[in-house]
Amino acid sequence: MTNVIALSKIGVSVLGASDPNDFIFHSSYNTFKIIIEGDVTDTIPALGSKTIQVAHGLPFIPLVTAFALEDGKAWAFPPNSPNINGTFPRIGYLKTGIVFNYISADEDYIYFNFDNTGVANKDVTVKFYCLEAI
Amino acid sequence: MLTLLERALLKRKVAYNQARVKKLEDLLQGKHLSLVKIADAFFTNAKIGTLAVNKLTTGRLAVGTLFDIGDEESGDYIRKSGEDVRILMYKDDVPQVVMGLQTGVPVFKVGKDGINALTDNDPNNFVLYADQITDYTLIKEKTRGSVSVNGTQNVAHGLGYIPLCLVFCEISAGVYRKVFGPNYDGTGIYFRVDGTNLVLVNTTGGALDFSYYIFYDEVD
Repeated sequence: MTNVIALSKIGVSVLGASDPNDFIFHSSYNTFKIIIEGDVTDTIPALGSKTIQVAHGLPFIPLVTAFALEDGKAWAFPPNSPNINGTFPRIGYLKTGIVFNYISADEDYIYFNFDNTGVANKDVTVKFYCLEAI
Repeated sequence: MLTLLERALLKRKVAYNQARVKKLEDLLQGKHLSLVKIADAFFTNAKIGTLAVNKLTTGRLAVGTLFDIGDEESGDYIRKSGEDVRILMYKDDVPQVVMGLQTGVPVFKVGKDGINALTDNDPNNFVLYADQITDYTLIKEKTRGSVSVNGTQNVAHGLGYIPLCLVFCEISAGVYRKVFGPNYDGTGIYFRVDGTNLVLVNTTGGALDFSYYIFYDEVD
């Protein structure tokens, strides 16, 4: 017999259900934990690139996910993506100039890489979460 | 005149009754008894103030008002209220864990240190927040693994639907980069998921190690 702690979705018998999608929480299935979270702000130089480096202090290489917030903008955007002001007829995407290229991690650091295709320096804040070990 | 046998028997009876009277006197004086057998007795007015037992074997144990495990005065204890269908775990006199019904809704909540899990409903203040109505469904990991990829590598997930996946690639020795879809970054490293496989793609021309995580949770 396996001992579990489970909470089913509304209307589902916690004892009778076997589909993991019928549970809000089930102790048999690992749920990723936020080991650490934080934010870092840096300036991306005009017409340049920058890799923001943050020491994570963990004894393992963490699985990291993150979002960036460009100074003066009200939305966050994910890696592997340019930041855009919006989509307009005939113009298409109107980009802000900031591109969040990638997230990497090693035993000591997390790296956030950005491009700035604009002619002015721009500040970005990265909110990051380290979720367990890779 | 009693015979010798009758006299001996009478003496034993007297001694037995004296011992019973002594036990009753001790009980009346509030002394502890070594063993008491209560057979289906019905106590209606909390006649036992404090009862110390090593093992309590019961049929159905109904809690009238409060049932505490641990000492309330220490501030750290587990409480089952007779009125509420839930268990509370107190730390520093604050109920930081709730398991059971909260305002009629099944919940399992573990607050961050110092958070009152009964009154606080901000999920950011909890390390675990499972609430049947609010339905902050927690993602559930099915499997994880690592595989060397040069070209296209299928990982059968065994689910009949498209599951949530996370993928990382060891882009250089000891450095892992989060992998996304094929559209933007131009690295030639990407993944996609269908109802059968997690498809890992590396078009750089050399083998790279991918680490992947597949969850039970559907994305469609």
